[in-house]
Amino acid sequence: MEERIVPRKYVLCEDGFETVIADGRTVGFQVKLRIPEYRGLPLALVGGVKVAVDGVEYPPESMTFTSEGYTFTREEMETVTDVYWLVDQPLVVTVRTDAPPAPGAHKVAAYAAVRISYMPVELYAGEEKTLTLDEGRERDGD
Amino acid sequence: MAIKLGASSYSYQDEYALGLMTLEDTMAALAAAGGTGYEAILEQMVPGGNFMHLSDEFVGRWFDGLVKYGLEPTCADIFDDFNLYRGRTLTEREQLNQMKHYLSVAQRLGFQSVRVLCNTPLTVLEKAIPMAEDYGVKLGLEIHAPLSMKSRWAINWMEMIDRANTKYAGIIPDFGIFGLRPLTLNVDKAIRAGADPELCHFIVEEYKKNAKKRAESNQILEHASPEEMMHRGAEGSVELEEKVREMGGGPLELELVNARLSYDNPLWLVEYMDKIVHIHAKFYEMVPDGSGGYTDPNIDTETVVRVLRDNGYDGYLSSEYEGQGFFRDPGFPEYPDGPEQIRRHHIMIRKVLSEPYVGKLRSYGR
Repeated sequence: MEERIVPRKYVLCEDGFETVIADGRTVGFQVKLRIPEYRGLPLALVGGVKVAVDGVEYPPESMTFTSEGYTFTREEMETVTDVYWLVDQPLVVTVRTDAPPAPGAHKVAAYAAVRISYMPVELYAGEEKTLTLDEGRERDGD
Repeated sequence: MAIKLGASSYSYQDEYALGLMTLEDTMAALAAAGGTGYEAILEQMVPGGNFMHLSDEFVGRWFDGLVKYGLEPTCADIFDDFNLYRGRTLTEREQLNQMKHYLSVAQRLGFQSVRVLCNTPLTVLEKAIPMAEDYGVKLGLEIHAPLSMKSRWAINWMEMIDRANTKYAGIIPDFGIFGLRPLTLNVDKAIRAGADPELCHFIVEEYKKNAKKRAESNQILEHASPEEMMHRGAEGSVELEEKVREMGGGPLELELVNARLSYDNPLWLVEYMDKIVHIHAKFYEMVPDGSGGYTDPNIDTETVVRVLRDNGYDGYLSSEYEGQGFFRDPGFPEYPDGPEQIRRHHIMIRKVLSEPYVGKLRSYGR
């Protein structure tokens, strides 16, 4: 399937950009994305998510996705038909990385593709913004 | 017998998604515009877990809101996600199960009809007719631009309905099939990106002139399938493209030429009146009409509403503000105002409905 990137407002949330801390160590960060579509979709219909911070792109395997209280890997998400990415509840993308960005201002780019039965191409829609990375709270490594 | 006004939740999508309006706020906004029919995209307005397993709490909140604002549920917009899994298409049985779920949710929430998309296979729809009868919810196949009421596909469906001899299946014409010109919002966007304003103006005028011709050729060509129609340019666009190239047009101008516009003869609505279960009064942009009211330059709404009124259409005109999607393009500085656009659209329709009857329309087009 052809892959294209289109600019779209409101995809990248202003809030919720924070570091992920486990056992006192920063193991990654989280960012929240609004669905680039007018209706909520089961996670199986999410074609892909791209996140970059200061130009550094993170591979899909480093991400987990949380919606309606459930968390999945990229691969698991392909089979999920009754958990939705809702229009009014952003998807939380957690990126695990050995070199997490430091708290402070960063240029964040986020794009998401959803499969729409009447669209011939899978579009990655999203935007780039400067966001402030906050210190996250300690959590047990979900 | 009367024409009633409503709106689709599609019209308030950004306000809702950004948390500026709740479900109840959208109901209040529709009531404030004077509308009574609430159309909803289920996966937009029904919370996710609830969409799969409706809770009594949500159902209660839904009906409380409708009662409070004097509204009734009209149509639930549903989809056929036959591409649910990557790499394979859902079987017909899976698609029918999906349909069954939609119908049960629509029934529980009191909707009279469901809008099915043009890419739902007719073989699935035919088998869904008995389900729709069981649930008491009508199946309305949307006739959406660039498809036509005279498309072979639409006629096949209407013949299927006749064979089934059912009141629970029909069509939902979308006003996009009465498109007059490349969209004002697209023209603005092209000019902002550097297109030649004069050439854009020329393209728009050519399109306007050809509206009637396009309707006539639609009648002759019985387009086989939605897929075929989706990839076919508007009538006359090949010739126009050549002309625009000669005049020095580049990709920006040519994109306007290739807008997949359609213009059905509004009088065809009379032919299929008994099949209409609901109507999407799609619009893009309401602008002052110069005499104290409003109009949408993109759609021949006034003619269509007159035809429906004069021929006794009894049902809803559900306003669908499609223009707000354009504001997500970073080039548009303005913020969409769904409630205000709906209010203006209803003002326009009411004005047409209140005009004196001047005899049945025999020709069409502005």
